[in-house]
Formats: sequence, C-alpha cells, structure tokens
Amino acid sequence: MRIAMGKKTMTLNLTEVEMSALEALCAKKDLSKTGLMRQALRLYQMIDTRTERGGKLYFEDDQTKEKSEIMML
Amino acid sequence: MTYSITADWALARAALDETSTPGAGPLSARPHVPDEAFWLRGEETRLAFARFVNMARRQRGWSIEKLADDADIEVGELMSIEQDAHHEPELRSIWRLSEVFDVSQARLMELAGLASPKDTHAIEEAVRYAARSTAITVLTPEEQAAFDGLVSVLRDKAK
Amino acid sequence: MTSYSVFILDASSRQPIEAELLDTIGERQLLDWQFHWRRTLEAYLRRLADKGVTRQSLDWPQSCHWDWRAKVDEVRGMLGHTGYSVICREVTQGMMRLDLASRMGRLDRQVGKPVVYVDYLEIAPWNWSEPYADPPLYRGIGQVLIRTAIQRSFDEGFQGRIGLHSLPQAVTFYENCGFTNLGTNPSEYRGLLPYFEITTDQARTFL
Repeated sequence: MRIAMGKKTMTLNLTEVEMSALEALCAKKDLSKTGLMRQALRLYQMIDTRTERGGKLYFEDDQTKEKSEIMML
Repeated sequence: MTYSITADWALARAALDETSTPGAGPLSARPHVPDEAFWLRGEETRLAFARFVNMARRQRGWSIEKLADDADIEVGELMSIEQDAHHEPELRSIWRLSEVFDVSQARLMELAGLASPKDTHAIEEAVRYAARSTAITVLTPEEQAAFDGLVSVLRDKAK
Repeated sequence: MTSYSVFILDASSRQPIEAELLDTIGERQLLDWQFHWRRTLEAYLRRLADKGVTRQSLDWPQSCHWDWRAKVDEVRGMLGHTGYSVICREVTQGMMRLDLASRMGRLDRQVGKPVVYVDYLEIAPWNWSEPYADPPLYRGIGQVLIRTAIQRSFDEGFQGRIGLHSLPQAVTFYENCGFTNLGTNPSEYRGLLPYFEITTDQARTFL
C-alpha cells in the first residue's frame, strides 16, 4: 500500500487482516487511508508525549467507574 | 475553500457576537493567583488596615491629632486612612505608622493595598481579625483579643 | 507559518477592517497576551471588584485564569494540535487552540467520527461585550476563528464537523452561529460548560 504524506511517500506492508481492519476503520470514521493513518500517528504521539510527562492513560468503565490502565512504554 | 475571508462575509455575520462574547474551553482554576487575590480584596484589606490604625491609636489612648503629631503625618491623611476605605494611603504614611506601632512595614503595605501580598494567607488572617472588632472608644476585651491577633500577624517578619 | 487576509469589524463604525489570520500562536501573540490582554483584564477585574462583583457571580469573566503560554507549551511539537490567531493593527485580537485527533462526534449521525475540537478560544478583553466593560473595539473575531476551525475540519477530511465546550457567556454566540447545543454533562468540566457541535450541513451554511 502506498501512502502519500505531504511531500513524503511511504510504502506500508500490511497483512490481509490488518488491511481489512484499516479499511473497516476508514469506512466507520469516514476517512481515507491516509487520513486514518494520520490520526493514528497524531494520537500515538499525543499519548506518548503525555505519558512521558507523567500522565496515565485509562479506560474507565461507564457503569462501574473502574479504571484500567493502558500501559505505554 | 480558503482561509481568507472577505469584508462581505464579515459584514454578513456582524450580528452574531453582538450580545455574547465568544469563548470556549474548560475553566482552569488556578489555586493561587496572588496578584489577582490582592486587589480582589482591595476594599476588605483596606478596611482591615483602617481598623488596625484606629485600634492601635485608641489602645494607646491617643487622639487623631496626637497620632498625627507623633507619626508626623497630616491629620487629614490620618482621618482619611481611618474613615475612607477608598482612600489610597501614602507610602510614607504607612512607613511612619509601621514605625510608631512597631509592626512590619511590608505587611502593613500589603494590608493597605499598596503591595501584592507575599503571603495571602496571612493577609486573609489579618482581615479576619480586623473584622472581629467594632467601633467603640475603648477596646473591649474582645476587641483587644482581635487586635492582639492582628498585631501578631503584622509583626511577623519571618516570611 | 502562513498568514491569510481576513476582515473583522470596527465595533463603533461597524465597518470592516483588514486583519490577519495566522496559522500559529507565536511568541508575539503570547507577549501581546501577557502584556496587553492581561493589563486590560486586570483593570476590568478591578472595576468588577469595585462594583462588588465576586468570583461566584455570573458576571465574573470565566477565562481570566487561562495561561496561554502554558496552553501553547502543552502541545508544542504535537501533530494532533494546532493554533490560530487573529491580528489587527499589529495587536493580537483573538487566539484559538485546536485538537485535530482525539475528539469524536456526539451528534446522532456522526457519533464516533472525528471532529476538529476547539480546546480554547479567547478574544482580547478590549473586545468583550460584558457587564461593566468598556464598549468593544472590534467585533467579528469569534466568527473568523470559528470559520477557520470549520475550514480546517474540511481540510482534514472531517467534512466540516467541529465541537467545543462553550464558556457560559458565549452560549448565545454559538446558538446564533447555528450550532447544536448538546447541553452540559456533570462528569465533564464540572457540568459547567455546554457542548456544541455542528454537522456538515451546518458547517457549509456557516462558511
């Protein structure tokens, strides 16, 4: 798969399963493949920067309000 | 579609912010904003300052004239200090009063509203003490206790 | 850094004036905030205090604790955030910080779809229409910034969708703009800020 990122082009090698997942997400989010990968990168960087500063990322259960941590190394 | 905007567009949407100021985002309450806290309480602290000068003078059994004389301050200035919460005392007056009453000049300045408090907690305390007093010629035991508390805060140069 | 030609309005004459939209919040903007905005704000807050208006009162300006320098530092280097500012007559008149990645739509038809989210939006205190404030100098800055957020949303492939939490005193502004008010949520911003969102159609109308 080829992705154009601004002036840079990159080739990604994905498995069929990964590609399906990507396409499903694109359909759901109404984004192009480039758009989706861009979101993924932005989010990853956001999470990385904040956990580096000492924050923690959690899922919070809507009913029980219990938190489960997402480990980011 | 571009980010540039025409004059016509601006005119066409002129009324949108007529009665409501645009703004968005979570309010970030900061726990300690000394500059703001300082003049926020401008009137409160100045009343406390007035109360202090008044009580300190009466505790010594002095008239306004006598204090004015001893502190080398104009009578008018002293009267304004004691009676007019909107009056901004002169720097020199505060200095002289701090000398005569033997309290920290810095603290008295903060109370008088001429300086931003280094320790807002202490100033708040001073205000509380001052609030406990009422205007009678001789200090009652309660007033005396309140006054003693006020003085102890004003004398504290430790911070 | 790119600059675009925009127009805001002189509040008294109601005539359009040329202004600049920058796709960044730079040092110059932060200095304007630190000195010009803060000075006007302090004078205004002093006036409120003199009038007996307290922090709890509805008239108390709600953005007065914001530290724009901190808000910019927070997201420095992050791809998922960006900022815009509006300059007129060499002074910063308004600023806005956006989140391009982490927020999803809440309106029925667009639940889960990415939106451009306005983290913070503030216009200079001398442009406020608030009780006891001097009459505003300029108007239309909010409209410029919101239009910019919408434009950015189209550019990102989000079809013009934007979302934001409105300061209580700005609610009428967003309603005037045709946004949908989804109300407040007790578990969000202490239930104080109503959430607004727009659809693609509403976005196109605004543009």
